[in-house]
Amino acid sequence: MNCTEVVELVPLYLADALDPRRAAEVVAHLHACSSCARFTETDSRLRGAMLAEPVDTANVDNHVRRRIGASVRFRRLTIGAGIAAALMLALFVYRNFGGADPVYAAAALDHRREVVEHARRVWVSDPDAIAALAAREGIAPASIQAFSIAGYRLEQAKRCRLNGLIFLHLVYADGSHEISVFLRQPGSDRRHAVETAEVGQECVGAFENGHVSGFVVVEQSRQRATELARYASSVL
Amino acid sequence: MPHTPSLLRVARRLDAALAEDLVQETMLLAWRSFHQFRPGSNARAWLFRIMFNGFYARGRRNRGAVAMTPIHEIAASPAAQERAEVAEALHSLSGEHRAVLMLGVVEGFTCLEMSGILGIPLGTVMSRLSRAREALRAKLTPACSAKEA
Repeated sequence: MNCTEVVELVPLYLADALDPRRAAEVVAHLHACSSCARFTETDSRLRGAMLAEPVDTANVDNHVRRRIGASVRFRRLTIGAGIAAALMLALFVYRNFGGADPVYAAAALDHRREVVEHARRVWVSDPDAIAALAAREGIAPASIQAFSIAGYRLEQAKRCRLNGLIFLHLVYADGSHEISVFLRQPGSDRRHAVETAEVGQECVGAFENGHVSGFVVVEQSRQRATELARYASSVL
Repeated sequence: MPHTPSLLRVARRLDAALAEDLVQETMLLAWRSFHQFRPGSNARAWLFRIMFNGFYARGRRNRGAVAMTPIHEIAASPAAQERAEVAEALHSLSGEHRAVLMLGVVEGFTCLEMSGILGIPLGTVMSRLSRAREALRAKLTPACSAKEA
């Protein structure tokens, strides 16, 4: 064992952390090398003095525990608040939109308020006036005339805004039920050819065929909404 | 907290006035960065490395101060007198020498571990430790001579 190795091993030797064979080698070297023996004596004094010094860690431990505890509580509070906010948002969206696309929800709400509950609005009911209104919105009047629902007749129409988009709102009635049809020229909000959703008491069928984009809102069933949306897509 | 006494003992030799703050910051930073700790590696060396990084960041490398042993204790026992004598000799060394002596001789880190803790090359650690031992021995020589006599 040479001096370099001994210099490295002396702290372990002083800490009694060497195995007996290595410790014996260090001792043998120290007997033979006065330089290393002197370093070892100095190391021993330093180590003895420093380790004998009282070290009170109570302040540090208490402070660290308090800070970690506060940090854990804050983290839990933040996560809890985040989850609560997400749940409230989900509940709000579900209650207001039934989980559907907001524009579907707007169509269903418009039908409920303006057609079923007869909110006061300005409608046009004259066929020529409806045709003129359709033409102004870029919808071919002829296609509206071709669109007929068995047992229902086109009763009234007006312009309306759904989720920021202007639609032509047509109402078909059979004397006891109404069906709303919302039409507009296809925009950038292209959706699948036909899709349906239930929003509250209404069922909404959405369609798009390249010429026109729109919704059919019924109160009967989702299947009825799907049938009418497919029909509208093929005729309009 | 098993390593706090070791950290505090060394921190006091780096900067007695800020030792507790330094160790508190070390433990909190270790807790926050625990995901960076590699399982199986030396946790004690990792903590010391954090502490030295914090110490260097404070920019107070040369503001070391020794927590001196109280006078009445010196008068009361030869052991206390010996502690004060060694502490004073250590205090008279540079901060770099104090650091390697505390880590290598008192805390028992190998030169390789000290290289990682202090962020300096292995050869530098070895030569610095050798010079630090020589310097400390020179400070303590009268006592050594007296003992030998």
